[in-house]
Amino acid sequence: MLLPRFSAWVRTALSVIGAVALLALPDSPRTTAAAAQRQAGLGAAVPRDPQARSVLRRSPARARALIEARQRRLDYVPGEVIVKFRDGMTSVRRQRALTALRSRPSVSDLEWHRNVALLYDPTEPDARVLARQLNAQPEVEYAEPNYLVRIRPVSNAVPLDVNEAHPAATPNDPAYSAQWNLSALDMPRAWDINPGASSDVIVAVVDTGVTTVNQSFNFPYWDGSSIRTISMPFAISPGLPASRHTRSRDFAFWDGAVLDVDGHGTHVASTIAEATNDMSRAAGIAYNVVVMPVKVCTGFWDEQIIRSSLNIPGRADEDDPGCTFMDVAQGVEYAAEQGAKVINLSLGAEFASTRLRDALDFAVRRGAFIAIAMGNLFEDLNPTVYPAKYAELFQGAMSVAAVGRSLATRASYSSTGSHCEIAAPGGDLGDFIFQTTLAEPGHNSVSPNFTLFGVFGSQGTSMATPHVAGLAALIISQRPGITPAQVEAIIRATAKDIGAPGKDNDFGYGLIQPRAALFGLGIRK
Amino acid sequence: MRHLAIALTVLVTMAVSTLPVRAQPVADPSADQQVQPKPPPPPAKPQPKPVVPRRNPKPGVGAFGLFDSEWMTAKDTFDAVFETSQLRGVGFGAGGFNLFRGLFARVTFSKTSESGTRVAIVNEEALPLNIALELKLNTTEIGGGWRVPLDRLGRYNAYGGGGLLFVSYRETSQFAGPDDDSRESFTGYSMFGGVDVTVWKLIYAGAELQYRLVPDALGEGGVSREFGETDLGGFVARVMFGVRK
Repeated sequence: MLLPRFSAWVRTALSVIGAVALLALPDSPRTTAAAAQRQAGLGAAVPRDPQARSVLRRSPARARALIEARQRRLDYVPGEVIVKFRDGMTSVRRQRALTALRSRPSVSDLEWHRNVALLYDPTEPDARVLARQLNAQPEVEYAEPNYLVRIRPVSNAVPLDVNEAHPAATPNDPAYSAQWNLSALDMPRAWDINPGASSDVIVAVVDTGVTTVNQSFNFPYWDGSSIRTISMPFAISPGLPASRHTRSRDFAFWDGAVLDVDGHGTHVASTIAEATNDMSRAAGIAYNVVVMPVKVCTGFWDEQIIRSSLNIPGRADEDDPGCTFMDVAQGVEYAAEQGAKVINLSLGAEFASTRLRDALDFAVRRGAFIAIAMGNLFEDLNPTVYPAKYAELFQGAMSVAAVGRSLATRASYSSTGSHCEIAAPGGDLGDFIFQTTLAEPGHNSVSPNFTLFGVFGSQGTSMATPHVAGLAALIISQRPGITPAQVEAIIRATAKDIGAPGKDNDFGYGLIQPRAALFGLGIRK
Repeated sequence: MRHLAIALTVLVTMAVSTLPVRAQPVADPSADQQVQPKPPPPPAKPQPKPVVPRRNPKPGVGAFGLFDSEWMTAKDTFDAVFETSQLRGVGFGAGGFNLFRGLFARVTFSKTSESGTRVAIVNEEALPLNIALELKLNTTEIGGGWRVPLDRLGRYNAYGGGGLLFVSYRETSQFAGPDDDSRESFTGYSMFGGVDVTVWKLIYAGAELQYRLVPDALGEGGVSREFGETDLGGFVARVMFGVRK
């Protein structure tokens, strides 16, 4: 019964996007651009006039700086520095500290985020110099460049081989049989105990976003010869319906609805929460939770739109999604403030950041468990990746390594280090983690469409991390009131020790065991 | 060990209290004194009846029902799962009395069950996971000891002894897989002491303290391993009602 329906989806999908095999098409309505503008109320369009550009999160100058960073492959945003003044510093004292900089900026130029300020100094593009000068001032607790986090999936957007998909007994989602990671973790028996958590648990996905509207927006766009405004349709992922979104927020692109134009965020969110047992697409681990999409990273299409809105001709770099530490920190704090009990951070960079560390501290203190990707840089000299490194500082945050299909060996790309705490399937050697996500339009598309979704495979610690976040959500729903530290303790205590005996640098305490974590302990067993 | 020491103290105290009292020789205080004239003899009084030594009663048999309350040695384990380490049970038994100079032998069977929840242990704190867990303990005891009368008529008796325990252990949990439940049998030991009283004709009631030792029954996994507790025994307070002839 399932197989013909499944094949029909595939045929339909193939007809739409050519060789890419898709399992499902959205059935969401697409409104016209005009209707979108009426409905959105948040600035549904970004015409190329200066006033409308303010819809973008960043000022034009700062947006240009970010684009420059991407083009030059800098590790930080030129001219941007994060400053935290010591407690009790008056405005006069802060101003005194700022006069140490060549441009002598005013305290009124500071952009405050809670008790931390962002300073943009276009006269000194090297943010490391700015940070060094500010750190020398007695009024400054710390100053650091606004580093760029890159999301570097080892492999992305691999469509599911239709031959792999067979109807599975449990769950009944047609692509479940390709989700080796879920069956390897014995998720069906874990779901017997706790069927997908509950809507009481909010899981924040701090990433490239998860589209929250079925709507079209007018955006400026370089069509290959000129910049013109075109209508771009967006749709909510069928695996993550709007009824399961809450308090979404965009810190990276604009002040409007959260839009995922990359697919990374949707893939991660689907691993955590994709609708399951609905006889369509794939399964997620905690399929009843509510997702809080927090967009802190921009992808190719975000940057293409930003460039065009700044009248910069040409196309953005073919680059992986990126985000600034400041945006990530804000996103983490926002998620905790808005009641997220779990925060997924499938991102990282090689730079330490006190700002980011403080944000994690804030979130854990507010009762949020945080799963953080170890990073995919083992084969790139295996540098220490942040914020994963900070997980060891907090009982309630865990750094997540990736294992391949054997579940016994570290994925070749998975970063290692003494701060590694837990391991989960992330795919390796062509064994991908399949989830429903956006079928990103080709970068040369004349009319980009963000309404197509399918089951795609990716691999990376980005994919391993949501397994831990999903498990945390299951534990929290089973034991309301549990603290992040207790969640971490349960995950650690029930992990299967793999690799070197005891905690090790490759797998931490071992491979997560969802059923054991949920089943707990009896008297003798 | 503390429990064992307490049990031994209780048993020794009870045993000593049941020993027959022997007459102590008393020195004649008049030996060193001068001979005094004998006082006039007191007026004659009726002589009390001579005390007749109680003869060994005849052997008999009896049967009884019992109620147990057991304070488990693995206190932390049972507290975590059941929020109490005191288990209650019911049972019955039968035995032979006065087989030889107060010797008795008995067989008892008691049944205990308790409901709790599986837990996660975090920093020695138990977090209930709302997964039902049922425990059933069936304990068979084969024991014996000595029983002595505390009064002339043999209505009140004290006894002490020991026995072998055979404990059938069954632990089942909601959502359990084939290997998750536990059905095992363990062997242990008991020491006990108590008193009984004939209430009416053949009917008697008794109270007993027992110390049970069931070593290495726990501790291989589960909560008991987390707490390092291995003994399935404990202190038992028991009341009995029965008939004997």
